[in-house]
Amino acid sequence: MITIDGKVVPFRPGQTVLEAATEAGIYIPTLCSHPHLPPFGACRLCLVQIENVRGLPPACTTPAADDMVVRTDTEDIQRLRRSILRLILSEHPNSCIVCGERELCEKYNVCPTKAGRVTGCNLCPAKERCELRRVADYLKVDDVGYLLDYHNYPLERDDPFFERDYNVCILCGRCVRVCEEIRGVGAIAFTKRGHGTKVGTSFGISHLDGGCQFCGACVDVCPTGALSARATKWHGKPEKKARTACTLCGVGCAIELQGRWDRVMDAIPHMDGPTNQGQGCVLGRFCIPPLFNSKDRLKYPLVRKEGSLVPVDWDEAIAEAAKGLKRYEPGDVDILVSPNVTNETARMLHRLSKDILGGARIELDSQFDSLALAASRSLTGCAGSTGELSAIDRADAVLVVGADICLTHPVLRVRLNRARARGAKIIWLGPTRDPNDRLVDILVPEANYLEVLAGTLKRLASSAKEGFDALSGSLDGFTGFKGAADISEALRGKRAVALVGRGIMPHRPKATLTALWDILVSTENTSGLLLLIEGNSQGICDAGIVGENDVRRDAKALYVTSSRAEMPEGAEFVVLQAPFSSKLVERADVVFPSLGLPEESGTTTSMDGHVQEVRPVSKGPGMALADAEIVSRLVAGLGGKKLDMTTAQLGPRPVRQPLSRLYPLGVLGPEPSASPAPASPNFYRGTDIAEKVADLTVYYRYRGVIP
Amino acid sequence: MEADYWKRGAERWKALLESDVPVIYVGAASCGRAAGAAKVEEAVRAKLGDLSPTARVVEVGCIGPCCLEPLVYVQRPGKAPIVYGDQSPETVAVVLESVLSKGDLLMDKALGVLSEGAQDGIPSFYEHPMLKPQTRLVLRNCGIIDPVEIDHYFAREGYLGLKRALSMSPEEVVEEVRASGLRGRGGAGFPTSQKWTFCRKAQGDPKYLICNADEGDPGAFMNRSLLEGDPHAVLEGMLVAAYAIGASHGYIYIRDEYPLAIERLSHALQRMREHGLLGQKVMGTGFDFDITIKRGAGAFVCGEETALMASIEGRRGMPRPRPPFPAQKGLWGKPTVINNVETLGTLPNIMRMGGAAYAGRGSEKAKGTKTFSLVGKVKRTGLIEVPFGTPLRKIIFDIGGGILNDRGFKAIQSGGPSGGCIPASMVDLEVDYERLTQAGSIMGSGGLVVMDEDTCMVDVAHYFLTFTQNESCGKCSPCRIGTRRMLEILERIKKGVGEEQDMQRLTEIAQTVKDGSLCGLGQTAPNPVLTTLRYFHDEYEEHIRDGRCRAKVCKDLFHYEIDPEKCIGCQICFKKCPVSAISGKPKGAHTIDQARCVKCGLCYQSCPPKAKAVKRADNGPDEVKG
Ligand SMILES: Cc1cc2nc3c(=O)[nH]c(=O)nc-3n(C[C@H](O)[C@H](O)[C@H](O)COP(=O)(O)O)c2cc1C
Ligand code: SF4
Ligand code: SF4
Ligand code: SF4
Ligand code: FES
Repeated sequence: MITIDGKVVPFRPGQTVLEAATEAGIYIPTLCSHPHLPPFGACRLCLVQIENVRGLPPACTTPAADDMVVRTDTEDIQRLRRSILRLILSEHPNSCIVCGERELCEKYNVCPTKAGRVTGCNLCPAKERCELRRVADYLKVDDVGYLLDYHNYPLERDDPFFERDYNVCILCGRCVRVCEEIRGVGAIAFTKRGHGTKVGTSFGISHLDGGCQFCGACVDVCPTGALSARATKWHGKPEKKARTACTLCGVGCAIELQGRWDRVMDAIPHMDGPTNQGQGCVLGRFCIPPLFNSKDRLKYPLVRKEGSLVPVDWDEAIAEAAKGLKRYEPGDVDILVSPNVTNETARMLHRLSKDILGGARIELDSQFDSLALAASRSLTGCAGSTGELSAIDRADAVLVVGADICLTHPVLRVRLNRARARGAKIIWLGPTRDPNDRLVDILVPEANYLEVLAGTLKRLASSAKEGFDALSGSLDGFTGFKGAADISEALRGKRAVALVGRGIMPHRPKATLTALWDILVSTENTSGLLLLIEGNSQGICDAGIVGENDVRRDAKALYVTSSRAEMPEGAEFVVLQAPFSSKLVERADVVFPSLGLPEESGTTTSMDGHVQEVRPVSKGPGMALADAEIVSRLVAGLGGKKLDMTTAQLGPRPVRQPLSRLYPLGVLGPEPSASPAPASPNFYRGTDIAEKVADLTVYYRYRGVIP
Repeated sequence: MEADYWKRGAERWKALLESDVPVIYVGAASCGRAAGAAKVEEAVRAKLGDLSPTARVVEVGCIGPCCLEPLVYVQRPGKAPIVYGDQSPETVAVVLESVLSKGDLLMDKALGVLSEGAQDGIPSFYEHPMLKPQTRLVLRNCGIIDPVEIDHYFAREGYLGLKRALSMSPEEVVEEVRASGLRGRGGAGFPTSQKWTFCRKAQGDPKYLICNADEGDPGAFMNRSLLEGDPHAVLEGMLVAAYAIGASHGYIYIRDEYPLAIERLSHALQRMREHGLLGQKVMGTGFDFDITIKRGAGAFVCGEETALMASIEGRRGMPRPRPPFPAQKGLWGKPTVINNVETLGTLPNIMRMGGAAYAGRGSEKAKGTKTFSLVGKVKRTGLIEVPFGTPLRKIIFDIGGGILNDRGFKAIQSGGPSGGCIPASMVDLEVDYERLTQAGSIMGSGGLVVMDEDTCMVDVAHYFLTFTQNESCGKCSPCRIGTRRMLEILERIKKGVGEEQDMQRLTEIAQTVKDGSLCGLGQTAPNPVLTTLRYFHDEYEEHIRDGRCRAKVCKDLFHYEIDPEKCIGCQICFKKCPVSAISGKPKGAHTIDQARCVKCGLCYQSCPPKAKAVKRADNGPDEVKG
């Protein structure tokens, strides 16, 4: 127990005085500390008095101890804090903080804008989280007492996604710490000394050149307006907020959407998402508003009349689609499900294909995801990963196979970074664009990496107990490549996690997965995680849609909810349901405009099985409707009973069988013909995100991802 | 470890002292080199070529009196070396010629002989007024032995302290150091044995020892001199410390601007390895220890221990809060002790003579001796070593010989850029950690700057604060911003546009920076401001109220004028003035155009003594510049 301001409160070992106080509801002003970051002790606002301790130690760095007696609010402390805050404000444009009439402005804007001075807060982007103001209020500082010492740094706006105005930076170091310690990137650091101290890249190079991943973590921890997302910085105060799950990649980060004028204006990682724990990536953090506010959203139902598509009302569009689909035998109809629809939509589509259309084929439109899910199902009896992402936090070794994590699942680098800091070995097999060697213990980037993997597995298998003989025999063709010995040593008997990505696609993916799962993942303390590429593949699979059959080339009628362009040539009748216009519209007979992520409701499932709510923050454009509503209307149009969301509840997720059987190689049937992975790594409803988000194009071009 | 080392050392040392050819010693530490020792040494060799081709030349470190550099000692066969100061290539040739071939000892030029007593009518150098009041313990070998000769070190009882330590248990070594009362010489004066005990008890393996040789205080050179003049003393100390705390690896963090010290250290490490004093099984015992030299980029703050460790780890040298203390979680997260060069250099003495004997010197709370760099307006400057408790008066007037040009003594600043200024009225203060702190200053690493009455105390505060303000690492807000705001106010006052409330403002910010800053840099940076406000309040008031700088240092507060009565019309100032502000005819009185004058002071300096016509005069109230 620790005594703070006369209150005796409990604390957990390892907690700081600040944490103990915060949990006990005692406010201590802070600027540099942040719950996600290691303590720093720089702003000096949290100074407290501790009995028998010399001076005034900072609460944020001082470990709580039994029988400690702490005072947080004596007159001496407050005077010192006020004096420090006034110093901080002497170099931070402050009219918005000390203006007596700021409440009037705050009603409309996050930061008051009517202050008279050019160096006032009207140059501060409208960020809601100006923490200086809270501290100033608490300390009742309404007079700074110094002339403003404006640094006159040029605005830094040459990099994509976010802008930097170090004139309002208070050098709390949060950005530097999050980049270095949480993200493991280290793109920015303190530079210079004394009055010239500034956050920046080494030698002042651009963020692109400095290896920035544009994850936005720095923007989100910044307590001032120094860092702000370019697309949204002047949007003012959000009218609406909603917690949802991002579906721009398979991880399923919890994010907070902010909306205004019925549009999404920002997206910020949620502090306690189970998969992302407050972190995000370039896609979820910066791409949602530009993507969904883009001009080429589909707004009206369209029906092809005399060769051209014309806008119609929903009833007519549904009737046209129903009429068209009814003309075909069930066996001639294919339903192509976008990996981005909600679980509810998927479940309805499943019902539609089975009960209403009498057995139309239905398939997930995601090459790697459906293959990996199907393969894992036949191996373990349950489609998907064998553990949660949190397994990385306990692993002694992480094996990354065929994955370019910094592009496909950037947020996972956070866990890899943390694991490595703990001492776990990170082993990368396969080419990767990840530029950062902080995350690498062993790297085999050569094209023959799967052979190294086979060599590794063979070593592990032959040393394991009986039952592996048959399997290890079948690996005999692979010689032990250089590195295999080190890697197998790093894995043998360790708590390990294997992360498998779509890089394995062109090279016997089924055999690779099978061998990995049988030899490594089947051991007691190893999890296999499928790095599902797209938003809700796992949830769609759980709705029963994966591995039914392969997509055929001979369907006559198609109902597609994804605008990826590969479509059977012979299709005669095409219904397209999508949020974005695309080339596919040209081939469609009926077009249903659907809602996108920030407008949708329902649930989705993360790649490691967390079912999360999807909540809207904005309305879709024009007459666009939710997918589930469209499907439901189509079911009715086809003569079925109208489905509603509540009757389409998901059944329980299939229970995973314990791993027991061993499969010889090749049991999964023929390997798909080698097809190179698409250049662009990220799609939403079949639409290439980089195509719609100019800054992402800039970033990907720079990294050589797209030409 | 073979006992022969000491025997061999003693023999070689004796052979040198009793050499049958002349031996010329040149003080060739960095300070000597800066004064031109390299050229002098060249001249010595050239001259010897003619005079006595078999004679030997030995480079030694610095013996202390920088004001007398370059120093050359001439040892004739069978005689003790005679010390000659202020040598140039020309004078040294004359000295050699006279002493070696003419037998003329140039009595008036000889500073003394390096022996206990007088010789040939020349007194012992140790009786020289600058050296006599000193007690040379840490510096006992500096300027005496050849620092690249490990044998010389052996001969002077080198590594005997280590030998004794290794024959004791580590706890006993800690106990011995406790008995000596040794406190850190790096600034804070923390009891060394206590720091060691924390580290000994801390969990973690391996443990590290770091020698702090950053010495970032401008003007301080005690550590450099010791490393250059007697590197083995520091290295022996490192072994003793490492043994006591159980460290298996050591680092010497040394600034890149000390190339000679780095060279000496690298050389010494090599010799140690050859002699079984480093690596596995030191002196044949079970103690393993190795040392790596790390060069620092030279930021002042990197001398702060947590910043220093960050720098060794390859990160930006920025302090972090304690706890955790380095002794618990230091370098790479392992228990670490950081000791100053001089602290470590003292250990061999303690181990050799015993803690209790060592504690026989010094003041009640601070035992032993401390080195200082004595600079500023004293007649004799240099590196000195005195027991704690020595009065300032003795340092300034006996060792330093009093104030230069017999001006009045105004103040002395101790402890480097963040020390305070102690006024002349406190000249009897006995120097130790506590007394300096009470006076508002600090011991710091031991810089002493003497100021005379021509020093403006506002300017002094401004000068030191400019340094600390620039060197603030920028991490914590009070230090980074507070020093800047104080500096602005001081600038204002120096310009004569200070406000009455400025003194109050200064005090307030200074207190905030002192109480609120994270590391020692910020916590002490306001000292020059606070002490000058405390002891020289009237000078601040004069600047603010009367627009007057009594020392005539603050350029905006005085002007130069030529006394027409005294001007002899020599035209020297007329020619020197860089902006042609002076007019006048030969032999006629000259005048200065105040609008043009940039106050460079060249006229003042160049006016011939017989005229002394240029004066510095206070500005009238309406002349105060904005
Ligand atoms: C800004 C700053 C600079 C310092 N510079 C030095 C230095 O150059 N050398 C040094 O030995 N100690 C320096 N110190 C003190 C060290 O942090 C540390 O206290 C010392 O090295 C401990 O050694 P000691 O116990 O032997 O004195 C500095 C401290 C501060 C705050
Ligand atoms: S966006 Fe991410 S990678 Fe880039 S500087 Fe900020 S934290 Fe670092
Ligand atoms: S940019 Fe923001 S987060 Fe970074 S140091 Fe400045 S105020 Fe702190
Ligand atoms: S007191 Fe100054 S030097 Fe020390 S941490 Fe703070 S800013 Fe850096
Ligand atoms: S919050 Fe503790 S020093 Fe900034």
